[in-house]
Amino acid sequence: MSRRVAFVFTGTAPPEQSATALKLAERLLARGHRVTVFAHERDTTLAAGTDELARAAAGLLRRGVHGGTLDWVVDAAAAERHGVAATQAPGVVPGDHSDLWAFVRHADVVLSVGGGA
Amino acid sequence: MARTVVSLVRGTQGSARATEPALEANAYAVAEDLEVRVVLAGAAVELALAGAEARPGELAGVALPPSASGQDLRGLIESGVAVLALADDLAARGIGRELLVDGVETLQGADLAALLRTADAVLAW
Repeated sequence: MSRRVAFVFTGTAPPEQSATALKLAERLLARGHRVTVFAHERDTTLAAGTDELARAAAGLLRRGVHGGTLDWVVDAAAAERHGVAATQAPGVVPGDHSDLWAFVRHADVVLSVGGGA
Repeated sequence: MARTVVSLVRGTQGSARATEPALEANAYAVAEDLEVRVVLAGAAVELALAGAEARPGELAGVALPPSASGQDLRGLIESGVAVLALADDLAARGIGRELLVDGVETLQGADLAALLRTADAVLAW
């Protein structure tokens, strides 16, 4: 049975944690689950530019062309502040925090990536 | 029945903005059918100080905005969001209850564990 899994990147995780979360997202997508991603603050840079994580994120989104089930929303205001609004991977949707809570409300499972200390 | 969400704020994101980013994000939760509890832990308990305020300033000709996390928390509380601060982390910083924004409740560590265990979702900031 397909489930809906929300990943919330809260802008505080080191790249290793983000990479691990994206690997999990890849596996979930491969098994036919629906994955939603919301990127807050610094994590709006995850799918922007040309570094390895950005290319990986772009790769996940590109699979949507063939019936994938990934939605990726960035906080548009934060993306603007971090200078990455114009360099997001194709398929990334600019949004706001109401998208975050809609993802949380409708998800079967919520995974929060980050959490400062 | 509304889903219960614990939003655990353990640090501040340190940007010179009028609103702490984690608190701003939580303010949007009121639009959804969710029961959100914001828990302040670690350094983030300082966000609950009623008198904490950064005045507007200027640096190298750039205007820096004022900020008052207490006001942000009051807005959350008035919107029906429960805001709790970890008692141990308050005590470790010498912050008494009388210094907190009205409506902020304190929470013991054992109670936090129960809160996390029974929540439908946990977000960590």
